[in-house]
Amino acid sequence: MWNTATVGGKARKGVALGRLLAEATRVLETGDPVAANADGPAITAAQRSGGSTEDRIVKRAHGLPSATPLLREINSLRAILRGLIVLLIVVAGLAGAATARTALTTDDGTTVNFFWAIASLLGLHAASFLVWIVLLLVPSKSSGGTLGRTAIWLWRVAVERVRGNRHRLAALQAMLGRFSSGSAGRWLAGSLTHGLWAAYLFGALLMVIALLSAQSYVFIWETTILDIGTYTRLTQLLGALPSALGVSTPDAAAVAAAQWPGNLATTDQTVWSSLLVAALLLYGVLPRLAAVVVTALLARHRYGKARLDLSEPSYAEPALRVSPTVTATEVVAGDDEPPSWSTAQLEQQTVAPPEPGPVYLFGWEIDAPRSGWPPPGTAHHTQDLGRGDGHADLQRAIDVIRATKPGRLLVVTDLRQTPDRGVTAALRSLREAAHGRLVLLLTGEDAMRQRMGTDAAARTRLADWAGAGLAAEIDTNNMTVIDLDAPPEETAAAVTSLVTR
Amino acid sequence: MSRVPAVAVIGHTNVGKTSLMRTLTRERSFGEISAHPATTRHVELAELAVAGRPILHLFDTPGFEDSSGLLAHIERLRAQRGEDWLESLRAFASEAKLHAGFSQEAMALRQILQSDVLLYVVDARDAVRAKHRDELELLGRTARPVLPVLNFITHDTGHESEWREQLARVNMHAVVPFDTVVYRENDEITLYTKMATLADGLNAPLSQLIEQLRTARAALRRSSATLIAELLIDVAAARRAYPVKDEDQKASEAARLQDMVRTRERQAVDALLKLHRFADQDYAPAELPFAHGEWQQDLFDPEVLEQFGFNATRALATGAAAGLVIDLVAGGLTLGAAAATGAGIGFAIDSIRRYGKQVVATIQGQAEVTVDDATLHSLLAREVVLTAALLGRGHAAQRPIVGEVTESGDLFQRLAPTLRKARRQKDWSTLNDARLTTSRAAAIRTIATPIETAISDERKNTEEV
Repeated sequence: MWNTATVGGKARKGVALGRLLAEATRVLETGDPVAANADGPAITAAQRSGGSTEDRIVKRAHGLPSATPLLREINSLRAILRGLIVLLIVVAGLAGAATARTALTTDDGTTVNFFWAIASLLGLHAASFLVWIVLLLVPSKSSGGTLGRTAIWLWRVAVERVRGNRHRLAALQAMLGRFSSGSAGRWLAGSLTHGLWAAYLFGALLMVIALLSAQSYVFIWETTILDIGTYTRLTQLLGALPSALGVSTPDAAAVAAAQWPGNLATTDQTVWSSLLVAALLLYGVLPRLAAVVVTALLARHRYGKARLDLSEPSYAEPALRVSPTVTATEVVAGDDEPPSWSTAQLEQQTVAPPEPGPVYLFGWEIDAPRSGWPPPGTAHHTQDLGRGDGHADLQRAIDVIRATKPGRLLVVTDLRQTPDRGVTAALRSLREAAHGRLVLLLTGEDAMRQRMGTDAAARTRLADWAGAGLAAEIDTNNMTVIDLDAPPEETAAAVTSLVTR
Repeated sequence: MSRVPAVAVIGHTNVGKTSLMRTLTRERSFGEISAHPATTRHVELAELAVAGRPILHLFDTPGFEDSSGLLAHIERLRAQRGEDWLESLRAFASEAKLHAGFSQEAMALRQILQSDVLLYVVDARDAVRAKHRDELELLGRTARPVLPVLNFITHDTGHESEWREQLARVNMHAVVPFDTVVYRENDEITLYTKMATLADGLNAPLSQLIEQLRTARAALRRSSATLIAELLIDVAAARRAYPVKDEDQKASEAARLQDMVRTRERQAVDALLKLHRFADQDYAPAELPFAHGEWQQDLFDPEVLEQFGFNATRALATGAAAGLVIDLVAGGLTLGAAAATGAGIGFAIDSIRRYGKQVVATIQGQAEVTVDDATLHSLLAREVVLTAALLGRGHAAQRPIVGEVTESGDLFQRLAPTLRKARRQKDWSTLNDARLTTSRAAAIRTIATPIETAISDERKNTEEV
């Protein structure tokens, strides 16, 4: 049982330290990004380790060359913090002892106002404890008591005074971030606060016991306006818990006897002494120690849960590299033949008039242009084969053209289309059927330019079409770009010259 | 599942198959993209992983070109060999001597026959042609589940319904709109969700993938907001000192400050681009407009009173109240005078507390230039718009985002209190060569949240348009 708990504790400590290291590494890299590939081995190790992205980031931080100096600095800063806490605890204990001494010191050296002494020993503690509890219930940003925050602040000031190297600064920044943020930081500061109070009260307790052992006191109470009943009730209230635990406390008679000035000789000082010691212990030291344990456990629990904030921009890149969303890209199969793009240009030259014979018009894989189909200016001069796509349409057109040797076959295609091998094949069979008398009209230039975006891309497309034409053995002299989406009068003139002799 | 599910991205040539791969993998450099036909001449694998574990294999394939010719060729093969379709397709894909000029298509078919699901990419700007119908017929013969992906739907939707109708005819009823240039998170989730319904064993890995996608997008928004917040805090707290009344020095310090701000903005933009996995060429920013910022030293200057209006007013009120008490004590004899003095003292105390260091600097003859609100305002607006644009950009997009200065609406007002505080915190700015404090981190967190909301809103606005 004990064994497993220790192992669990060690693992948790390892996780907390790992996160601290990852944070320090992040701070270090924010100011000075690691050169590309410098963390290659660390990344590989992290990837291989599996686990969550956070685990891998921690693993990577451990694998970097900066891990050794950062861990050294973290340990050194922790040691300083620990030393500071010990020092503060000693100071707090001494302060408690001094307060106890003052509380038990009076002008005449023997009589001590009991309730006054109780108030000065436990008053401030009770008030601050209540404030802490109230702040605990009120949801606020305030973190765990002034003392604890002051301690952390002192530590920071102490550390910053010593001008550190960049590793030390990064470690400091990371530790401050972890200590001061979220509920974990709040509980940590809380446990520090309670620890210091516990030390203070324990110092007071020791001093009280020492003074009571070595000196003779007469405990009294006095009043100007209150009656004896108030003090009897107060004593009972104060003594309720100690007497329940078997400590002998003053009864009503003892209270009556202790009124100043009165018949003090009859009072038993041991009941007052034991009440003083018991009150210090039960209302002072023990509640604070309990609070230390509770807040420390909560802090530990919260630190265990306080994951790294992976949405920090400087985590984004390492996170992607330790658990990539694309783990591999590779060429599985392919021909090494480099694609050769045509660099042919469509020069705007006039296409020669058609040879004698019928002029056919055929649209391949196009929608009706805006000027209508057939294009204006062709109606009386051409035989319209319509618009088509697919094997059947192509064969139908070829059959018609084959029947009589044409003077010209005007094939209209759309520049928005990608000139693929299917287009080339269709053009080749049409050209053969037309005895080589094929003229290719490329339409839709404006729409194509809009789609392609840049002039360079548009020119690429024109060149690809020229290439497709050449592949179908159509001479560039027999290719032309005419936008049939333009107003009818404009296109009519351009098209007419292609179909009339 | 022992074997990682394989998905082949297929389609006619130049419809955006490699673009889809780039967008799904967020790898700008995956494969090669051009306006030419047949740019991709190989099968390329991208392995998608969740928590480092391979979850899905995506294969990019060469596009179909002469689909009608291919269909006719395989039909002939089938008749010659007397086999069924699937066997003929297998034979064609594996035996080089049967390729007959269709080696690209054979390569794609080989991958198709080895895949669990096919993503059939369609350029929705194109009409449905016979070549597409022939492709669909061929795909129907491969006995593989097909999910059609309509690309370029946000450009012009002229043929989208036509495509949907055609796809329904061949029993492809689950269709996904997915623009590879204009990215939408929901489209990607829909893509994976529908894909999961098409084959056994895809549900679990794809749910994980969707989960990872959502987390990553949320983290991306948060990280972007943090980067912008850091930029704003750095710039708001930046300052350059010059000796009072030295106008030349002041001008050169102002110029230096502007340079620093420009460099800092460039850094932030680079970081944003890198975070979203884009590069320099994806963003063409306009010049950052500068108004001339200057730290006003005169604490009683009306502009300072206005700029820090709230605090000054409060201080005045407190001081005046103190004066009023003194007046009452003095029996009301000096009513006006004491109240006025009290107000002066109250404001002075508040100012010394807040501007103590400036006062000391003034005594030493130093003044400072800072960046004004207008510049901060436009920095904020630019970066929010840029981030929203990056969130809506597919990794296949080729044209750069053009940076334009726009209004950031009331977002700036929400950040103003923290930014004003930043102006007084010299050590909040990395530009000041100061040691950073933890309060800086807290301030960044404070303003990152509204920025994150603004980014999401901006993103929604652009998606609706």
